[in-house]
Amino acid sequence: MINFDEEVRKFKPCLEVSQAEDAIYENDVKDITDVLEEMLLQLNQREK
Amino acid sequence: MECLNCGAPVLENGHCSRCGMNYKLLAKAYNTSNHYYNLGLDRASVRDLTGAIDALNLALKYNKQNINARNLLGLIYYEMGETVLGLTQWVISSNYLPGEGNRAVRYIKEVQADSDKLEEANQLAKQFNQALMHARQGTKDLAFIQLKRILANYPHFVKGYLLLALLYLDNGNHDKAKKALKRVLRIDKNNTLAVRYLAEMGVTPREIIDIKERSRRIDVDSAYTDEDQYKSELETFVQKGLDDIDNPDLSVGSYQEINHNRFNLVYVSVGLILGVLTFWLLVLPTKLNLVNKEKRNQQLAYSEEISEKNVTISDLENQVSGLEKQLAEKKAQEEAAKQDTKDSKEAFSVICDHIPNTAYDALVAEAAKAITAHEYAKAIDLCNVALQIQEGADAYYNLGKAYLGNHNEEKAKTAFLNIKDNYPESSHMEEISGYLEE
Repeated sequence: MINFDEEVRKFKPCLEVSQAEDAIYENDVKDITDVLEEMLLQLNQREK
Repeated sequence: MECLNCGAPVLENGHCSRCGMNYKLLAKAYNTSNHYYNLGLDRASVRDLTGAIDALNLALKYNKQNINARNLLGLIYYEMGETVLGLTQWVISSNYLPGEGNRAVRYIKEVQADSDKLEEANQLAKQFNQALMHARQGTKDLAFIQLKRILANYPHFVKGYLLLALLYLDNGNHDKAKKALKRVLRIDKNNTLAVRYLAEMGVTPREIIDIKERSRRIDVDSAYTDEDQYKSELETFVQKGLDDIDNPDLSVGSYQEINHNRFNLVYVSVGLILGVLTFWLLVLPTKLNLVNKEKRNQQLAYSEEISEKNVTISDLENQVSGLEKQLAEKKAQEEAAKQDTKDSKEAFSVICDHIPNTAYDALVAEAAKAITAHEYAKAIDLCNVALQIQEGADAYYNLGKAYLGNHNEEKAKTAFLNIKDNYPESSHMEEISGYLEE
C-alpha cells in the first residue's frame, strides 16, 4: 500500500534558474580518475 | 602512448610519466563509460528515459568527461521537463570541451536565445515546488489545481504527472491516476515510479505492458486534461458493450439538479408567445371595435354635414337660376325700353323734320322781347329751350345778347362763335363780327 506522506517526501523540488549556478558547482561527481588520483596521492603520502 | 588523463607519455610499466595513472585501468574505465553511454543511448532511443538516466550516470561515474554521455543526459532531463537540470549538464559539458564541436554549446545557445522559454522553465519549476509544498502540507486541493495548470502548459513534465498520480491515488481516484501514469509511460517507457504506482493499484504486469503499448497512441505534445483520454473506435465500442452487460438497463439515471438556466430562453419565448396571443385575442378585438365605432360615428357626422351642404348648394343653385332669369327679364325689358326710346327719338325727329317748327320761332321772339325788357335770365332759358328744339342763328344771337346783358361775356362769345362757325351767311354776322373783334 502506498504511503502518501512517505512517497511525497521522496519527491525532490525542481531546480530553479537562480539555483543553476550552485548546482553546477556542487556537481562534483567523482569518477574513476578522481578515485585513482586520490589513491595515488595517499600512496605517495604513505611512502613519504 | 599518451596518458588518457593528462596526455603525457606512458612509461613501459604502463603508468603515466606525469600523473602516475595506470593506463590500462584508465582505458578500462573509459571503455566502461562508453559502454554505459551506448546503453543509455539505446534506452533513450526506445524512450526508456529512466533506464537511460541510470546508464548515463554510471557512464559519468567512470568518466565524468564523457561529453556525449553528459549531453545526452542533459537532453533527457530537458525532455522530461527539467530544463534547468538539463542546462546544468550542458554547462558542465561545455566547460570540459568548449567550442562548437560540443553539441552542448549549441543547446545552451538555443535555450538562451529564447528568453521566454527560459522564463517559462523557471516558472514551471517554481509552480511545481509550490504544488509539492501544498501536497506536503496537506492542502491537496491547491496542489491539484497547481499541477493541472502546470501540465496543461507543459505536457512533458514527468515529475508533475507522478505527483498528480500520487495525489489521485491518495484521493482514491484510480482511473485518473492511471491516466496520468499512462502519460508518464508514454514519455518515459520504464519509469520505475509509475510502474510501482500501477502495481500498487493492483494492475498486473501484463496489464502494465498493455498500458505501455496503448500509451503509444497518446499525443504527449497535447495539453493534459483529466478528460482527454484517447480511445480507439473499437475500444470505445467494446467498452460501451461491456458497460451495457454490466448494467443491463437497470439504471434509472443518476440524480441531477435541473439546470434552470438552460431553460431560461424557453421560458422567455413561451412568455412572449402567450403575451402576443393574449393581446391578439383579448385586447386587440376591443381596440378594433372602438376604432370601428368611432370611424362609423365620424362617417355619419360627415354624411350629415355633406347632406346639409348639398341642400345649401341646391338652394343656392335655385337662387342663382332665379336671379339669372330675373337678369334675363331685366335685360329683355331694357332692350324693349331701348327699342321704345329709339322709336320715340325716331318719331320725334320725324315730327321735327316734317312738322313746321313754330315753337322755335315763338321762343326766339319771346327771348327778343325779354332782352328788350332786360330780363336776360328768362331770355337765356328761352333760348336754350329753343336750341333744344332746333338749332339756329337767331337762337344763338339772342342767347349771346342775353349773356352780354347778363355780363357773361365768355358764354356770349361762345354763342357768337357758334354763329360764325355754323351760320357764316347769317344776317347777324355783321353785328357780331364787330363785337368779336372787340
